Amino acid sequence: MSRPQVTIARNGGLVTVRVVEDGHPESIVVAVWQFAATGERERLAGEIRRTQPQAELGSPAAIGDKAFVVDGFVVPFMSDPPSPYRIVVTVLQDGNELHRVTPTDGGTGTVGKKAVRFRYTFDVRAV
Amino acid sequence: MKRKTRWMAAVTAALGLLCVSSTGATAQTGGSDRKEIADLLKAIAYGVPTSPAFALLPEQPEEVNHLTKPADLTGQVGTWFSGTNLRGGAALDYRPLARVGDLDQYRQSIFRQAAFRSVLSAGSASGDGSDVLLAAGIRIPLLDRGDPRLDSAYEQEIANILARALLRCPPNLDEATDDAIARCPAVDDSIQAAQDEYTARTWNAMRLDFGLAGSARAHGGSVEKDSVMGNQAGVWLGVALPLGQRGQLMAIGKNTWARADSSAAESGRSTAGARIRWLPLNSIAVSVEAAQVWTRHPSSSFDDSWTHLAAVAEIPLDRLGALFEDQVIGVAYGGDIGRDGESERGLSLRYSFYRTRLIKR
Repeated sequence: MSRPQVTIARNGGLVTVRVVEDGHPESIVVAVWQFAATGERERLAGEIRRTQPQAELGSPAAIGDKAFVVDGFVVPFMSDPPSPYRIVVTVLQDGNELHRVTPTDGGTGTVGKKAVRFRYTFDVRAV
Repeated sequence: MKRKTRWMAAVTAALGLLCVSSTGATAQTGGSDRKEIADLLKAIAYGVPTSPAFALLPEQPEEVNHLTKPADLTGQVGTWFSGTNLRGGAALDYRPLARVGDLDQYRQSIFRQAAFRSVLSAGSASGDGSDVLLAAGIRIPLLDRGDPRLDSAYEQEIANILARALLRCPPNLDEATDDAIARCPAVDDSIQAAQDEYTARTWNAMRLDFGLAGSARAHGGSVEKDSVMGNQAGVWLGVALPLGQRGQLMAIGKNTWARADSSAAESGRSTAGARIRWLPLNSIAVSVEAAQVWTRHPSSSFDDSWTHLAAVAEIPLDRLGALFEDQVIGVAYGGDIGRDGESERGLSLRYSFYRTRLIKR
């Protein structure tokens, strides 16, 4: 399966990922997992909350050939009717935006009484 | 007085009231079914309808489509029309001002809160013959102290449940979300328990709601200009206030207008009233209400007004033994005073034994 690739500068600084809900009064919970190129899960790279929207992925040398899965939930506030949400995932290096996307897998929709799951997978390539 | 003794005294008092009232000169009394007590409690609605538009339709839609953006409306057109004519049974709702900023901004502004909570609704229903009724309205919850978005402890509790679920069942690379959901333990029960606890804690929180709706009649379902005429309109203002942890005061003011086909047909109705509910857990529940209703007609000689009164107590009987497990005795006193004609029922006493309580949080 082909995954989106995020190209980072090999001689650049720290790479981080930011996950936010865009413009609605919603809250999210996210875990970011690191995988080897072989597909083996290696570690929990970070946890993200609404109040702490950013997690460090690592230095270019450490993550230059890794894949990451952003796995999260939209917190249900019992909206009736369900309320819309939109998730935005941004990958940054040295604070500069490299990649910004709304996940196709659950990244937009509505949330009511039940938590809604979203997921985004991407490869990192250092050049 | 011990709790059991108090409870026995309440049952005795209720049964005594039944005996005493049966000898009264003005009140009617007698055993009745649960529905009669339910009808007494439902005679006046003390809250703003969840979807004011649907309150103007003869029947509630079975399914409501929730739109997330105006463009979704184009996909709905097919459900509203049969050929070029409107058809009944279609319904939608939409939050027109959902993008009000993040949760912190929302918590700091009652205007953002009111804007976000506002919901437009529209629906259609079959009317007389081939006519179709079309209604649209808006509900604006101006204040809602029971809004979970305002409660950071609720947000934290649910977030912690979800965080534990994410860490307990890590994803596999390239695994579809649906596959992960099927593989991992469900979190719905834990969330439901937290939501139930929150709802039980905030059931009587302060609320102030406004509603507005209008309806039109499309003759033969046609949307041609000459075939559509105004049918009804309504405006609602409702407030709910807590009375300690176990009680609630609800007050409503509403006014409706209707196209009248004859001088005797009702062309408008105004209602003002209040209800107090007292709902201790697993004990006696009480509801007391009073409302005044005025009706208008093209010919004022048909105008009417009456006072609606109701007092209902539900007393659990399960402590009398297994035979009465989950049973309550409902005792109700009330009716309409001063109503003209056949609708005049006067005050009466009713009682009934049943299982599913009518006075609920």
